[in-house]
Amino acid sequence: MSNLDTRLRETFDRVAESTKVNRRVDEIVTVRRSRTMPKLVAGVAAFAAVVAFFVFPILLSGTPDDDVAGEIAAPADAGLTIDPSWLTVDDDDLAIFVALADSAAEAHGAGWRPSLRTEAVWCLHEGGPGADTRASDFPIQESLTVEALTTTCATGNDSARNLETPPETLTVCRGVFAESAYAEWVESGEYRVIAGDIDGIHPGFPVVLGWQSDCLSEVLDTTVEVALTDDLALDQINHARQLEIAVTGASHINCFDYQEASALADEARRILGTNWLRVEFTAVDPNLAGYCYQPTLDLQFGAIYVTGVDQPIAENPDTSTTLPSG
Amino acid sequence: MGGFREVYETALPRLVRLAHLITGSNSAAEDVVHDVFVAAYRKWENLEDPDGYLYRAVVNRSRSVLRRRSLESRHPAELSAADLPPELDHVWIALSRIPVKRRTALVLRYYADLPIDGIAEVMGVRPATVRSLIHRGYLSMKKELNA
Repeated sequence: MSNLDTRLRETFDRVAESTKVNRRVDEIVTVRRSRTMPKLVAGVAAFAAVVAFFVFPILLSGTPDDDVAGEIAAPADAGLTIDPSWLTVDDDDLAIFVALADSAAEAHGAGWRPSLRTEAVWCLHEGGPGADTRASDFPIQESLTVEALTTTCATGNDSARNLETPPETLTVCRGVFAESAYAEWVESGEYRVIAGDIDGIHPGFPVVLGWQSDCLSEVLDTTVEVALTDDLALDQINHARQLEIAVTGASHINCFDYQEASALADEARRILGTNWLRVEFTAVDPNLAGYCYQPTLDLQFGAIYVTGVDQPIAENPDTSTTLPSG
Repeated sequence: MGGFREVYETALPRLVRLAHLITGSNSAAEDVVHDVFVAAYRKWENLEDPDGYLYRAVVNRSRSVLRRRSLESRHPAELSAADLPPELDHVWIALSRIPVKRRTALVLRYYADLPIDGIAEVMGVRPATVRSLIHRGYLSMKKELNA
């Protein structure tokens, strides 16, 4: 080993040893208002930490509603043959979620089910903890409702449980990430836009405020910059939700290769509209033999991409990192 | 977000140290790693190899920070803040004067002890490029230290 080798190693080691490390994990998912906060409900954060891993049980019994199936149009052929049933919710798709729930019953308790990305909601509370969570405390065959959103944010789930915010004081808005958020998203190199315009109009996602508001005049100081409007467009979210159930179920049943899942993702975007982005998640290796892929619908960014089937059946998020007050 | 906090607690110190060595600034390193964790949190459920992702992201974002030259305005130079003996302080200062790609390759080789293929994967370049970067970095350091 040369003298320079030794000096480089010693220098690196000495500098590394001197490095100061501040832990800021609680800032990562904190969402808060920029103006002065009224007093925080005492003990919320501590209580939330205790119940961080608790998931509200959901009963999956019962049969699908009639309005679930058959509302999604059959797709056009985009080069690979797409079975129209892959884009329509049926009993087999719902059975997949039941099976997933059953397989996780020991860990989560009876009635638990995987949540969907199209059930994403931000709960912002007056001076209290924010939660980037999902409103999934209802049977999967039913539709997402404003009540489900407000219940999630009022009584909470996971770490945000028992926030004691009266539901009647909540305001449901639609949030859309700012251009800067999209720019950073793309600059990360993890996502490559292959159809759609990041500077265009995006579908948005539910943001529930723990106070009365007109949505439009709010200026929020959140980890990711978001603008609010008062038009939630819940029917469009439920449309996307149906599609997510359908393509997730189909992907589990059929074990698509990457090209098939991509074609299905393209078709899903055609159905949802061009305000959705079609992106490539670059971390996913498209050539893994024997691996199953699926389209994934990211409601918050309004983006559709392909991931591996084994990974993306998301559980109710652990929101234990959402505790700091504003 | 199962496992996020655990990974954060475990990986944070070594990632900040790595970013410190590449950027030359402790405070910039903390910002870099924080930004990487913020980005990782948003896609946590999709990450098949969180540790690998975080490592690559910290290296690339550290290089990006230097490339944009925002470091000077946001974080004054702290190159001598490590309380090094003079002979090592010279090395530390010399490192700040060589191109960032070469510096990154040297950090990954002599601090992280990564093999050539591993450095290539982290930096997103070919192994031959890594060998060239290390060789040129080495020559640059000699030149700086003899100047």
